[in-house]
Amino acid sequence: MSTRTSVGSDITTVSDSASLAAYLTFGIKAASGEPVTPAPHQDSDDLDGCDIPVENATSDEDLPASEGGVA
Amino acid sequence: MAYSLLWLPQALKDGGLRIAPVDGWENRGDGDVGTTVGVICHHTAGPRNGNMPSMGTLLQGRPDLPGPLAQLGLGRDGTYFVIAAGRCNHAGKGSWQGVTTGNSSFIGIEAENTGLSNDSPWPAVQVDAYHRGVAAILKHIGRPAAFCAGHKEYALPAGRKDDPNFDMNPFRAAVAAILAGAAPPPALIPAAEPPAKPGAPAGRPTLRRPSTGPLVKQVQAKIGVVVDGDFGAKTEAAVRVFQQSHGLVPDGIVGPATWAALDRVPTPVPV
Repeated sequence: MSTRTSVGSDITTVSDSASLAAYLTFGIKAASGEPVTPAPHQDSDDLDGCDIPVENATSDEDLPASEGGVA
Repeated sequence: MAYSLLWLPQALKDGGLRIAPVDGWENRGDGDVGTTVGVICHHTAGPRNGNMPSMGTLLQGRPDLPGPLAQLGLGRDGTYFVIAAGRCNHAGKGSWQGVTTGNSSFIGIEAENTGLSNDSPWPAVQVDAYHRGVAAILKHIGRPAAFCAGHKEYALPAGRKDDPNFDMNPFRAAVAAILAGAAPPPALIPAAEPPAKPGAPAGRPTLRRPSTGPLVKQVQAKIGVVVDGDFGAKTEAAVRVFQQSHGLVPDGIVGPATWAALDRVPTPVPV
């Protein structure tokens, strides 16, 4: 369950345990310092996050453990 | 609340694939998906080095575009990172098989690759996992290979995207062969070394996170990490480096091939 707090006319902060866990695990910060969502009027099926620049590469040490693939 | 794609990890494992669930994946999404009709294949255009360096970005997005940006990340070692069970912002405007609601209707797989000549050819283990992962998903939802699109095929206006940087027609043919049962089974890592001779007991077990014990200490001593007998993230990362420098698949798992390579490394003498 997310708790969302309006910050500006078109920016919303997101605070939920899963996002926070991922944020702490991977150390990713948006420019504003918080993960944010876009303006609510955008059609979410039109959003395309493919190919966006990676500013903070995730090291192999920070990846979760794998399962399966072993006979 | 948990979203709808909770079946994803098991479907991939049933396809013989290696998976790595990311904490919180069950509850992660930009809302829930609608009826899933297919898969859109992407490449990340991320950094050249590392197994899945784009992971953090796929999770969090950027200030003006929230994550998650794909349900699945496919590492260079063929591991599927399960990021989200809900809707992800991977597709944008487009159309495939008459469906125009890409983010709601297609599962997005972001495979780690720069999309440039410095990352070509793709690792065979990653390509094989890409085929098998798409086939496993389509099998689960009861759709043929035609419901697998490249992002560059889905995206409108035409030419808006160029990923993935391979030909989707042979890709779909490989997926179709797996769906038809015409492809060889996946190459799983044996759980232990084969017996030295017929009738002898199996050799050393395959080690991976979170294995523990004296054999882990042997591995750690050979690869130069802290010898504590705990196969954690640092040991796994060091195993990947070792494997890469010895021409092995850098999956961080010590199976028979990696054991053999380790045996050729002298054991350090304690000082």
